[in-house]
Amino acid sequence: MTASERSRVEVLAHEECLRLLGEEQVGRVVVIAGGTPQIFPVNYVLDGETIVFRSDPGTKLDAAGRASACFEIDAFDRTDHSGWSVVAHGRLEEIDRYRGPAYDHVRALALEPWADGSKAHWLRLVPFALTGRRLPGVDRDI
Amino acid sequence: MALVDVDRNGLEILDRGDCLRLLACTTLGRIAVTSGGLPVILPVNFLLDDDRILIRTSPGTKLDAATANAVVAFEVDAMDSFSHTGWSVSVTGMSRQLTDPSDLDRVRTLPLARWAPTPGEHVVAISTDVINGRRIPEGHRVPGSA
Repeated sequence: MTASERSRVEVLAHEECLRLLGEEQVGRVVVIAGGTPQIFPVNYVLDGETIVFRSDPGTKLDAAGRASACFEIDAFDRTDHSGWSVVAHGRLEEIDRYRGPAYDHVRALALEPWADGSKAHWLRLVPFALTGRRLPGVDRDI
Repeated sequence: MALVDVDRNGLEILDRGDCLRLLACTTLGRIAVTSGGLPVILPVNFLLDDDRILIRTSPGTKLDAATANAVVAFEVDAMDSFSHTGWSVSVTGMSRQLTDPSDLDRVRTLPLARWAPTPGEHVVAISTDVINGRRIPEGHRVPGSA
């Protein structure tokens, strides 16, 4: 990003970040696995201010329970390069049956995985930071 | 219908050639790096140059520091919320700043005007050593009517 582009970036308010998170269905979870960052696209739902998704037992993502993670959604227009992105930083936690009411709560969310597989585990990212940026687009004639 | 490999989740496995073709026709991806021990992700414009991913960074930024001789992840996808179809390509590779003058001169001629690096910016190349792609085929799962 050049200095002139950076100066045009609009910082999104917390409420706007939450609104966008509530509208989207697919995002990307990032965890450090084996010392390297790994990106996993997931479909998710926003539950209050937490991001809930499902994982298959035995996967790298599933093994990342309680790890630091971040989550990203975005939408960009490739013609005028306008768009926005929202990133949540937080900690992953698995919501299993031993969590009692929390387990019943996440299972009742409208969260049908797009892919097959058991997707038997419910994970949620509890953000401690939520940041959003919007790019107003560029004049292609400049 | 041609035989396609599927993973245990029923997703079609895209081979390296498919993945590179999808990267070649996409201009926006997300790079994930480790910064201060924590995962960080951000969207970036990129260009596939042969089999390496090129992005630009500004000196002094976290991204610039985190892409200097590091292992990074890179992802592109396209998902359709209505049909629940889509694809994604994930790359794990080494990132390094381009320093070779002839390489940089050639990169500056690549056909993406807005992308062209201005003086003072770094160009970072990410190798595509490990590349994985998946496609959710149409009709794979019918969204619930409720």
